[in-house]
Amino acid sequence: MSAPLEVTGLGRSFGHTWALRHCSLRIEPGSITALVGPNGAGKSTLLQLAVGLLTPTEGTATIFGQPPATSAAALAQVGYLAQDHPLYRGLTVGDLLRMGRGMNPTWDHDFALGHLAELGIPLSRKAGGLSGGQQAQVALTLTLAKRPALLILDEPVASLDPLARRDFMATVLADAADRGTTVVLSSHVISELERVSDHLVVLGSGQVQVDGAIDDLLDRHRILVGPGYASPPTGLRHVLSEHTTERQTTLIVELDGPVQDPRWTTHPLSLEDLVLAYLRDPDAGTRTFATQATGSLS
Amino acid sequence: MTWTSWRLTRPAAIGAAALVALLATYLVAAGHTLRAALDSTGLLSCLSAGGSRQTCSDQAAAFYRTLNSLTGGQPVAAYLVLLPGLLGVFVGTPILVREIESGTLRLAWTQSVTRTRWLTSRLVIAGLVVVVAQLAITLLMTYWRGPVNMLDGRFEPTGYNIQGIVPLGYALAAFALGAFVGVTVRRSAPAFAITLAGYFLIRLVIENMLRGRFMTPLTVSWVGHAPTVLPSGAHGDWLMEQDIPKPGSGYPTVIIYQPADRFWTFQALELGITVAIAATLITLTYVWVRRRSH
Repeated sequence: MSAPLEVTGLGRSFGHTWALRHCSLRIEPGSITALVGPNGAGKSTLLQLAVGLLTPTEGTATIFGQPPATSAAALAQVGYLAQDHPLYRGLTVGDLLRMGRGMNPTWDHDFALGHLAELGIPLSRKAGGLSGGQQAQVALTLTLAKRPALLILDEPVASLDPLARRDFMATVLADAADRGTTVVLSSHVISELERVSDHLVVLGSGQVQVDGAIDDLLDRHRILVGPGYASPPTGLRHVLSEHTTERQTTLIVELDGPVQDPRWTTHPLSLEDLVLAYLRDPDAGTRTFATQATGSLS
Repeated sequence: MTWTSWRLTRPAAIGAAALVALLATYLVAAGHTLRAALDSTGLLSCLSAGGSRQTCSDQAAAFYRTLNSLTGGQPVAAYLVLLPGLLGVFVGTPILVREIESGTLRLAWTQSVTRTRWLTSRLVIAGLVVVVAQLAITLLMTYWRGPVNMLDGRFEPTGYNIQGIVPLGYALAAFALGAFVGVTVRRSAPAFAITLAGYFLIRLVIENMLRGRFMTPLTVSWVGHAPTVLPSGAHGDWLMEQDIPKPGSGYPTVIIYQPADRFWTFQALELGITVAIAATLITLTYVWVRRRSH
């Protein structure tokens, strides 16, 4: 089966600036992938290329083996929610549902009605008169009622308060659990997505820095603490960062096996620290990890 | 999709309907009064007895007094000329530019409908609103103008511009220009300004540089006694140029004109030009929408 989303050598420039370049990754069916990176890392560009809102300058993106947005059938497979949850503000919620029904052959009207009733959002209200959280939920409902096999959410909770955030994520997770939807969601804060995702892609400066299953990534990375001015022990795949003083040396490393040297103690690394370590050392990711992600460990 | 397009066009359609209703209240009432004035001033009977504008000048003067009292001395016909363009600009321009500005294009283009089909649906529904509204406006303007046609004809510019099929062509050209400028300029205020300016440029070029050359004008000239039948507005001719020398100077009097029977040929040619402009702009809009990103 073709991957829900696969991009190869993908790049997009705006004028003379590359927003994204040399980007290759494959999203596994049924996975929930967190796409993380600082502002301006190219997350939105990547997602818009994936749904066909942008055309690539170089490379390719495919959705279930097809180029995106080339046919109504290809469009029907993907649910996309843009960062600002755009809605026609002058239309009522009921009008928006009717629009969704008219423009999507796979539309599930009962789901849409039921979900909005559950949230207590009245159909007669104009979209422009809803709160930010409600607008996000209406936009998400429109996206989910399409019954897409791949759900792409661009910074979905960035503008929401903590309560609305939780409700929003609960809706996404319920859909993924019920229907096995593949989900890709982006954020510049990993903590927002850590609990809900099982895969992680880190983008930095328009390139993929990390790509892998979260459990696997956490398994492979450690903080090593050893004596001052000691050189790193042997048997490491990569040293991401090194901080040394007279008294002790702290390393963030990717392991290649257990550390044998008794002078070093190992500590687990949080996902957030891992992401930051890769983002601080952009070359590290492209050197080591891009090859592994598509190699034996993926 | 059709319902969605209609729902999104509805505010523009309501605006167009309000414009038509507003015009109707003035133009129907004024047209009615003018028709009554044709009778009450005796102008109609004078003209139908074979009189000309010269021989019926008293009646004509009385009729024009009624017209002026209705218009308050304003050049109403010159204002009416603006309507097709304004209608087209205000229905056509928002279609894409508003969606680009509000980000809703990203909503629209990620439904299960291709961009091409989406654009077709939006343009057809909005285009129908323009066609229906413009036909209604043309009917109203024609009714209002009818009595004046008896004196001035409908071929000279202020009559020609607001009657027949030409107004529809200009409305469609303005509509298409609005859609195209909207998708290229991407911001509402400049898009409206550029569309309006572009529309008036197109209009001025066609009206002032092309229209007179659609067909070679005819010329009559004489010295001394004038021919019995002269081209005149009342006969529906368009008098493009009149050169009347001082009496007794020996120079000929010259009238250059387009005869009345060319009216529909001219209208058809001008409609053809404006529709061709509209078609070109719509094609460019499709190319742009298919190629460009969001």
